[in-house]
Amino acid sequence: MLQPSRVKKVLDVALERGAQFAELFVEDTYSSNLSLIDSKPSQAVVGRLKGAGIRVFYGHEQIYVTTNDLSEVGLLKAARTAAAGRVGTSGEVTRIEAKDFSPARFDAIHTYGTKPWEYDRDKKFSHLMRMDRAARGHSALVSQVEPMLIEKTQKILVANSEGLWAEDERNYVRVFLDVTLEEQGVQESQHARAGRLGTSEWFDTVDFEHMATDVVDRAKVLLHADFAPAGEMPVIIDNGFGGVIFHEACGHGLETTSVAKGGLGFCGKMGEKLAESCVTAIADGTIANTWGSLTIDDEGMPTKKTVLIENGVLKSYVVDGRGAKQTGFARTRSGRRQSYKYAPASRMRNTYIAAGEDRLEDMIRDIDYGIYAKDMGGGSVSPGTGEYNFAVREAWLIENGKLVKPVKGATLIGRGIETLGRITRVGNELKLQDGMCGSVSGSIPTTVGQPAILVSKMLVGGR
Amino acid sequence: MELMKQMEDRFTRISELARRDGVEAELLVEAGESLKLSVSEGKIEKFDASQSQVGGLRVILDGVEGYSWTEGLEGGDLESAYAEALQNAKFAKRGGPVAPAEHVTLYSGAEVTEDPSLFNDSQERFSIEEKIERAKALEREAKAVDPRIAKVPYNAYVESKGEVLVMNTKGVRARQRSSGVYCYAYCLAKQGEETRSAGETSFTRFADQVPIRETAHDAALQTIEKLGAVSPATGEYPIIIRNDVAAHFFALFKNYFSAKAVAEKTSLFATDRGQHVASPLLTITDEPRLKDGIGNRVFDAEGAPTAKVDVIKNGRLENFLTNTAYARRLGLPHTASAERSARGVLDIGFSNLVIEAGKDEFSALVKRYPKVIVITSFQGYHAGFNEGSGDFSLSAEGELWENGVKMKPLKGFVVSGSVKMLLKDIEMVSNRLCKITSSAVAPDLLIRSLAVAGSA
Repeated sequence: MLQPSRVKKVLDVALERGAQFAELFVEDTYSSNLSLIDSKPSQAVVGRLKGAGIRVFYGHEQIYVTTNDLSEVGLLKAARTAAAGRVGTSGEVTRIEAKDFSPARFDAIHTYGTKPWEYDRDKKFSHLMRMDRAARGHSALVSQVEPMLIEKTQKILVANSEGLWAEDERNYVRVFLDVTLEEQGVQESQHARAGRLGTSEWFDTVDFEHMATDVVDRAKVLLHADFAPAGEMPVIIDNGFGGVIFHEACGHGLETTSVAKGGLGFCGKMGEKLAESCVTAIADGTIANTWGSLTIDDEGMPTKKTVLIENGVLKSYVVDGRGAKQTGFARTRSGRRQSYKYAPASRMRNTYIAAGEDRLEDMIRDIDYGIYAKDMGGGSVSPGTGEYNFAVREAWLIENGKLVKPVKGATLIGRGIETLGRITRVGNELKLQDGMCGSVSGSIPTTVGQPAILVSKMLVGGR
Repeated sequence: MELMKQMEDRFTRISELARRDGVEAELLVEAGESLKLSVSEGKIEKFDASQSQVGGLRVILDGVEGYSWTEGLEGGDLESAYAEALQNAKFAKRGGPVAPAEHVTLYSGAEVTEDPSLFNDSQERFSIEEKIERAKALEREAKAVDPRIAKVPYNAYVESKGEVLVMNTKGVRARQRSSGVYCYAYCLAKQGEETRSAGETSFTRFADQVPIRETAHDAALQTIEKLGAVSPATGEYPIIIRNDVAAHFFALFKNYFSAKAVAEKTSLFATDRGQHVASPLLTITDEPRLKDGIGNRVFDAEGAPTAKVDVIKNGRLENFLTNTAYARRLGLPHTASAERSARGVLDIGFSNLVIEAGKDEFSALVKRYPKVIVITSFQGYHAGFNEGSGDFSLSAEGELWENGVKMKPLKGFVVSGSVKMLLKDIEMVSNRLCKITSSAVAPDLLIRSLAVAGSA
């Protein structure tokens, strides 16, 4: 993407005020979003993101400068801005020079095929129409269908003053489908998402009709659901996207961006037993062609698999380069960012609770009164206190060991580390689900996942 | 900026291509610079400086639109983006012939004069050392308020300045510069095993008027006030949504008042124009020229000059917000509410959503019932709100007031209801509007009753 001689010149300028480390991240990304509404094309947008970020460190102090100008003049200007961010020093500075680059070689983990600009727009239109027709044909209650195809090809270069030179190309494809049903003035919506680290020919393998009819069926359940009861009770959170609670309420607390601030309750707990022995949690960037996977992270390090919690005991945090310096914990090669517009930070990849031994039916059977959260919505967590809130898209009331009726409008609230300690049973069917995770370094593709889990007590907000 | 002059020149070439291809074209350019400084334990934790530019093209072919955007703005980049937008317009034509009312066309009108009050060069008058000192003062001042303030984990001093240019092949040319400074502090208080957090944000267009000390103090005091919070008992309560919370809450469903949402059947009020949808105490306007407004704009994303719009007046739904396409499609007045980022598609939105202040003092609201909960924050807005049905179930923090006296802080509860019912159940509106920290402004609102789930 850039000549090594130009990159070295840029890094040397960034180091000229005495920084101990300098890094250049360059990106060229093509993206495409196509969607329908009212059975007609709605959005047809192609974008080209192009720019660079320069990062320097003075001890733990980080300075990050971005620019769209990739000419030598533009990059040197950004490097000077980064160097000039260092203030308050006087006298001579110890200046180092960037080492000569040694290009990194990585094993190919993922396979790619047809790029978004090579895949015919007519075929994309045909896929969108298949979803639209299938949803509308499945129920006369369908009032709106909004399918969308998203494609992205991201080319990156990471080079730093320690001689690292790493280039990578990442391809992402994703399908969104939102469906709204209306009956006697009452509207309910449901959605489906599917995505992978891969290229556009994957669309040829997706069963769009099944996806559409399944969403309609799930929306119908909401249409006839009562409101959830309110109060504290046992909750079974189903597999797949149910893992979003672990991701938000615990996973973010394990990132060194949080640990270094002492937030979310996981700081200082390394080696402690935080959960029952049935709980093992993993962050893995190596699963082939999976949404949250990588080949290298955004600091140029080859990705790996990390056990975060093993049989209830905290074994590792999620650690990037800066986090390793700040906390002293081993780097888990988890430096990630949305684009060159963000400095990298410790972030999750494919992060999930590993399969246990229980069957979902047995867990339900053993509950007198509680909630089965079949499909989770989104949520958020307070970074200071670790208190979280999550919406349940589809829930069922459990009475005397049986699912008695669907309920809606349930919100689950609690504190991450306390909820982790209340997971008493873990199911035997692990399922992963793609998602987007927003945090300090932007919105990135991550996978959440888990088998069904039983939380012995949660506060359910309903009516 | 030099860039905008270059863009005006390059658009001449795009106009030639559009004429050749028999299409209309519009270019939206955004360029800017920003600086963000955060501090941890007296040292710079984050120093982010960014320069950005992006051009977004909208091409209209036989009444349908195609879009593309690019951050590379050299001559060839823009022409490539034009070719992509044209391909996308051809894709959009696969939907078949467009009904005359749905035929999209560009806005045409007179050039709009820039609003000079939205931009100043005050940021240039301060050195980087002075700006870093401001960031450090945010943390230092907040910690000095009370020894129970353990940390100020999230804080920042943020400057930005930018420029927007809209040009189209019908002769529209609108250009606006803007600048502003934010600061915020988000504190963590500890008392024994208990931790609580809260924050405060301030915005000004003048770098010499940034209220660092006040922001830090307010953040710290709000955090301390949350210590000792308990979860309320489950039940129905009269609820006061504090003015700053009300502003964020109403922003959650502002899309219901967009003509696009009406056409796409996602507005809860699609058939209610002219009807009373809320308490007579509620008046909502869109104010693009609000004093000190953050969302101010003299022209919309199509280059059309803006003006104040009554959306709900004394409870009656008066207007949906429109751009040229949806005004024509639905036969509604054109309110010049087009909204678009260079990377996005044309939409409709508020500039500043303003809920008009009422006549009552806040003290009258808390005395209205023997027991009332004042909401001081909602969390998880998007997850806890079902846009299709208008139902919400939001995690909250608040205060319990009895007979007009604040009794104790509350945490760990969920407030549930529906937007339609809530609007009708507004029983009192205070006379104090919240501080402007976003593009929504509101007074305190007393709601007759909402469901609360707690664990007490």
